[in-house]
Amino acid sequence: MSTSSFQLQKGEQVIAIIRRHWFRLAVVGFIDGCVVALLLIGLVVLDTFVLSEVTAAGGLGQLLPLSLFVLAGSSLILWMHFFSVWSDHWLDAWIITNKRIIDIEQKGFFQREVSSIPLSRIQDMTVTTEGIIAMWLHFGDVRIQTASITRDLIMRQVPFPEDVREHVLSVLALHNTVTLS
Amino acid sequence: MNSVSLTDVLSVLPLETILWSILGLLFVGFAFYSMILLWHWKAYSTGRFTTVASMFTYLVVGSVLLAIMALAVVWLSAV
Repeated sequence: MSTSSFQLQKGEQVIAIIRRHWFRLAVVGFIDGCVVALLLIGLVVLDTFVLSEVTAAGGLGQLLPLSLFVLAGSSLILWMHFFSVWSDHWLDAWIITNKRIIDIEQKGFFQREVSSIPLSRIQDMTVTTEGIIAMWLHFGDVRIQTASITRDLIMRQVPFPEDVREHVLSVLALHNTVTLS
Repeated sequence: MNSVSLTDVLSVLPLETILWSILGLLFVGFAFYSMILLWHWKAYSTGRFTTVASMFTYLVVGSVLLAIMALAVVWLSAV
């Protein structure tokens, strides 16, 4: 497997690809949906009152297509906004292989950070779940402490963080067994 | 001071020209934005099915919304 951002080494196999939990994406989708719904309600109310006044005065019936135009245009902008958030969600990933953990972070459209930590450098792993929603929907952070002095790797808002931790530990145990033998 | 009604304002404004211009700008924006978005997904995505399905959904819904806007302007011209 290869993408333009990273290349697997010889004998390296992908064991798991982990992405952020869908909760943040759902919140953005819900807010965008609410904005469209509020706009729709506002335009219906405006049309009901203003259109009746205009029609009664023998005036124009232009408000209905105009409202449709505004509603479709706003929905298009919100649709594009939602997909930029979705794009960020989908392109951020942590790839666990039998040799290392690759951390891919998309920052906006034109900045992408790819770093990797060899399994042999992992020292400890901590799982943090904060808040009632995170507890209920089973997502949290997994901090991987390494022998590196630069920084720890943090998998933020991953689904089932305990399982991720166990998974990485089992891969690590297998890696250590292979290395020692 | 004379009061100006909404009917007067709508009848004086070159609404069609304004709306076609807005639609044109949105179309160009949508096309440019989609180009960047789709290039990113093609270049960096790690899951083929979800990527293709999302590209399809994004483009279809976006195109439908643009078509609705165009129809609204045509409707406005007919009124």
